[in-house]
Amino acid sequence: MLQSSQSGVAGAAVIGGVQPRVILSSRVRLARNLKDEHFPDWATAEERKALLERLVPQVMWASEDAQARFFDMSTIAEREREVLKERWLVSSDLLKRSDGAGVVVAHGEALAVMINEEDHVRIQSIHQGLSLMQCWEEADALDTSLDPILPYAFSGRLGYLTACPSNVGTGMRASVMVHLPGLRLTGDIDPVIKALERLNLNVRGTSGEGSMAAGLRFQVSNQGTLGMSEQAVIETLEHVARKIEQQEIAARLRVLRDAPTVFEDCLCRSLAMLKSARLMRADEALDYLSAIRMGMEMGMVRGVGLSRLEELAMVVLPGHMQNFFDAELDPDERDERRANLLGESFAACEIESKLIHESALRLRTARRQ
Amino acid sequence: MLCEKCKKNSAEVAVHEVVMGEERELYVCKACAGLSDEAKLAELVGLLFDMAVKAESGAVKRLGDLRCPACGITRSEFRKKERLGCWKCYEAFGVELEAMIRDMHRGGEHIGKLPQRERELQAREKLEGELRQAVATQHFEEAARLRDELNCLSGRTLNCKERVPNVAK
Ligand SMILES: [Zn+2]
Ligand SMILES: [Zn+2]
Repeated sequence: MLQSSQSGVAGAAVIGGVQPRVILSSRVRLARNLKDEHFPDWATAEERKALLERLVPQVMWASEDAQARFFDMSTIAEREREVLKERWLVSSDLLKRSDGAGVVVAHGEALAVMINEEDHVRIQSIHQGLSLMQCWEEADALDTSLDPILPYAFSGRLGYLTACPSNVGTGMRASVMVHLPGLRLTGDIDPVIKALERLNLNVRGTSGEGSMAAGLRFQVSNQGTLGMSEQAVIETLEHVARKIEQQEIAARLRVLRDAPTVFEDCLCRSLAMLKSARLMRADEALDYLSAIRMGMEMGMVRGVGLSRLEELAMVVLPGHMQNFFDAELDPDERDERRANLLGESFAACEIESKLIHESALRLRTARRQ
Repeated sequence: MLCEKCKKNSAEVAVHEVVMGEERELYVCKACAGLSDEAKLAELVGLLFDMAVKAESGAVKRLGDLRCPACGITRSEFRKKERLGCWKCYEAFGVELEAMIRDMHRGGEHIGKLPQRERELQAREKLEGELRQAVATQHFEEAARLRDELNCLSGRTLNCKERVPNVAK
């Protein structure tokens, strides 16, 4: 479908670009339930509250972090709920459950344990880049600490028993978040997604809600949880993630080499919007930031750094926006402030148009040799 | 313009939806305007359920609206909410779940991490099997060692720690 990974690496050397970070983050989630307790969806509010009270100190203890924090969904402020979700610490499902549900956050934000979401306990470990094994080890360690004090629902044949039969077995969902603006430009996102689905992997766009691919970030995760060990699932996913990364880099270089003006146009349009729009939605902003990020990773953007860009990709989200301005803002006010903030942030930013065309030429020459 | 959801097809209709916590008007393709993910999942679960019922119709008809004895939820309640009531539901609704699980997963049996209790149970069963075999074949020295290991597992021997390395051998 695309050129081999080798030419991708060679291409990156030709233009002297930095190594693009296609795999943004890795995550492992484990679902666990207790025997002799109704699953959260069928428990009464009193049962859920009693279980939450019992589990919180146990989870805090098992997290081995004196700074671990607990957020109770019934008392937390609306804005804070949004922020937790935007930081991937809670699911939208947990936010819908106000009575007897909450989350324990520990080790910075690397560890989050949701209590009384769909399952009694959902352990989550997140790290940057491709780090699934580390995520698994940390989630596994917490689970092992909880195991002797929690009577887990388990069957020899079906493994860990979960509220939805789609999670039985290991109860594990491993996922990587990948950023694919290059494959979008070459029009190869669809075939890549289809190929992943044939490998029994699940691909979703990422955003606060639903399946939108805001900012061209996609979450790739294992589909089944029964009949494959945690390590085997992680190894497969890691292997696939590396392949996706190679394809994405190859796609970016191919657009740059064969259609430098398309590449340039994508960056320039996005920057123009970031600089000049007066009203901007969060999902729109993420799309433009995605393009700028791609350009930056290829060494074609001047005046703004990657860490500032990553920060902005968080600050533009609705909950974070309100925290940033420390005010309750309605969507229209947010759109205006968001546009202003981005305008200021990118005022000094420029696209290296000349460099884009020179690099394209070098890539074409290197290919002929 | 392109569909704002899938960013693949061209947009044909406007829909109102909550995006990242904000209500928005989105221009989307017909496919994306159709069903939300949740609705699609509900449809799938319903479909799998119907298939299961059809496949096992004999058994299911006899069972009627089955109820889990532990938590009291009925099969139709499970079907409506798509969530089981408790861990015992896996036994109570075994027939339907069997078919659903077959469709949702690649394998039929758990491979992977075990809770500590389960691990100990399996280690014990394995040792007991080996002990029976050793006695039957008159390997008495081996049998004595296995018996000690079993005692060790149940904490009946004091000098267990010294014997633990034997387990690893
Ligand atoms: Zn669409
Ligand atoms: Zn039940």
